[in-house]
Amino acid sequence: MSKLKSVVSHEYLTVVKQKGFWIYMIAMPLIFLFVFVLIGLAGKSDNNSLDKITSDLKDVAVVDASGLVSEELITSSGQKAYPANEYTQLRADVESGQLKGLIYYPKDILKTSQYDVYVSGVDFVFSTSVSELGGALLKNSLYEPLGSSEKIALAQQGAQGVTTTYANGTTSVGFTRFIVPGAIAAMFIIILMFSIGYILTSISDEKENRSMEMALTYLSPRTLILGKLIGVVLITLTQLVFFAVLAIVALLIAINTNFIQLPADFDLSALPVDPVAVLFGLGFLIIGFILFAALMAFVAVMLPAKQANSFSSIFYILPFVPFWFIYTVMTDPSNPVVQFITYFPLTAPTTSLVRNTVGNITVPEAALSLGIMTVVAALSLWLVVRVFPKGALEFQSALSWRTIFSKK
Amino acid sequence: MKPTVDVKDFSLTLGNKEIIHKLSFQVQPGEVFAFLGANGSGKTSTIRSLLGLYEATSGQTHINGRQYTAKDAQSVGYLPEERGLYTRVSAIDNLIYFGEMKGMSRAEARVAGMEFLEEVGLADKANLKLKKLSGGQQQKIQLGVAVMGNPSLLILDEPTKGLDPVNRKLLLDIVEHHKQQGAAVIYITHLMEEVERLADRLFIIKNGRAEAYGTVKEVKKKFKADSIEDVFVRIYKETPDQKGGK
Repeated sequence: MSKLKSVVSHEYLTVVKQKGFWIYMIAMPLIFLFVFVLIGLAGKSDNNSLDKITSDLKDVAVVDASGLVSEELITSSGQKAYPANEYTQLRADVESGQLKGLIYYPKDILKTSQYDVYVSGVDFVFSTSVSELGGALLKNSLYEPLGSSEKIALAQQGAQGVTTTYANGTTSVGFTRFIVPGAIAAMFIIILMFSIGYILTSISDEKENRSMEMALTYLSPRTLILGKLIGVVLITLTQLVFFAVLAIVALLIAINTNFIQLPADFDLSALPVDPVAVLFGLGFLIIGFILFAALMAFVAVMLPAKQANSFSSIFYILPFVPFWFIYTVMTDPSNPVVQFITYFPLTAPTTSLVRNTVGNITVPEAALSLGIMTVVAALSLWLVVRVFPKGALEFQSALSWRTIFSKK
Repeated sequence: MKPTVDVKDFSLTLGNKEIIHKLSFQVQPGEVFAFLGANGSGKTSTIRSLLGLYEATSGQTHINGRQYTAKDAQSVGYLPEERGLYTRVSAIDNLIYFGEMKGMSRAEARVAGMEFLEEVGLADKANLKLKKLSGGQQQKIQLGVAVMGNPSLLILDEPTKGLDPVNRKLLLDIVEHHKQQGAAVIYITHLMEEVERLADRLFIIKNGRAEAYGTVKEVKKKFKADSIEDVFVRIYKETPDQKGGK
């Protein structure tokens, strides 16, 4: 037991004492923050561009030969309406660059459903804006007979449907029911991205720098592999706590600066918790973690370090397959592909966690998926312990399947 | 006297290849036992079998009267040919970790580790990561790991490889000291002058088979040779390329 404690402590401290570990942990959120800031700056730049376009649009002339467009609306939008007989001259002005743009509604617009837009220059955004302005003026003019601006807005934008769902005879809660199972799914993604690789690195490094032979002289393979697994669990918990603290701080700042506005009736203390969804979520999380950690360890033991690193990419690609067709996973659970990835061991954890979050996985489906994951995880662990003494000292070449299943 | 190491009719087959064929030898407490052979002759495989890393195909490989397992870690100090410590961990933490593996408490391992570092002149480097130390300094730490806890058996595979004469003498003095304390030492080397200086008895293998076994004097007499180097060359002269072994 004390040896196991020493191995766990060694595995944990070797990683968390590295400067690189903390630089990576801090750098990742900073990179995300940087991207958000860039998006914000780009948005601000967009707003500046829009201001310029709005200003330029004032220099756009409007000629209505159809009689459908409201002159009052044209004027209130900042443009100037001209009589139809000036159309030719105005068009020539645009051509010569004296006028920035011209919108022309022909007489037969009801038949052709087309209006003409003339723009000076090749500014794509400006020409699109002039065209959209032409469409908006026509549309609003056609809606004008409805009367009030509220009616026009309603006719143009439509109304939002508010859905009330019932579960077990009572009104079910809205999006908040996704938060807890969604957080569990997010945790699994973080673990996949940041933590699972440590087990592979740990074993591959020890094989490559030959410390494995020393370690196995004084430790049983079972103690060593168990110590590594527990070490990775502790590293993972450290990362999760770190990211959780960062996320809470960021959320509080975002709420206090009105960057994010939560719904008025949102109450964190009254967050709904569906015990079945949470239990299955935690099951998928824990068994999924063990499954991927064992598979990573297996690959690290079986293959020389460089090959193991290359091969391990499969464990970073397959779990993300469900996200390639996330809409189908969320809306069509009976789809054969969705069914397959729900039970295929390498895609099962993420697929099941997503389906568990949106609530479209039944209890028998969840139990079957979890059962398959458990069996494969147990088998992988058994294989790791079996091949460890053989593969751990095989530094140059891959272990053959025959060697794995041979008695000696 | 009960032998520390007792190998009897030991054979080892890896895959389809017989690496070791019916080796038998003993190592007594307080003796330096030179274990010699060309590269690939089967020395490392024998040592790994002795340490339970490989399973003997037949015969016995006993340490202190039984097959060694990790539970007996306190009785063995191993310095492998392929050096293997944690380069991203400090010198003292390496010593502490392996001290704990040998059943010492963390505090005991720290004290013993610092004592060793002082003995070999590396106390000021205790908290440096191993990768920051020179090859020779790392080798001293490796020896420190082997001798931590004063084991009854030291297995040293080319311990002086790459060391300058001063550090080589320092290391051989440490080996001598542990021998005086009663430890059995299996000493693997290609430097025959070290064998002549240190070894009480020796064992030469070729292609996994025993070729010479006895005291230095006995072996020289048997082969009518002036030195162990002559004996070694004579054994390997016919077929210098090793086919078996690992």
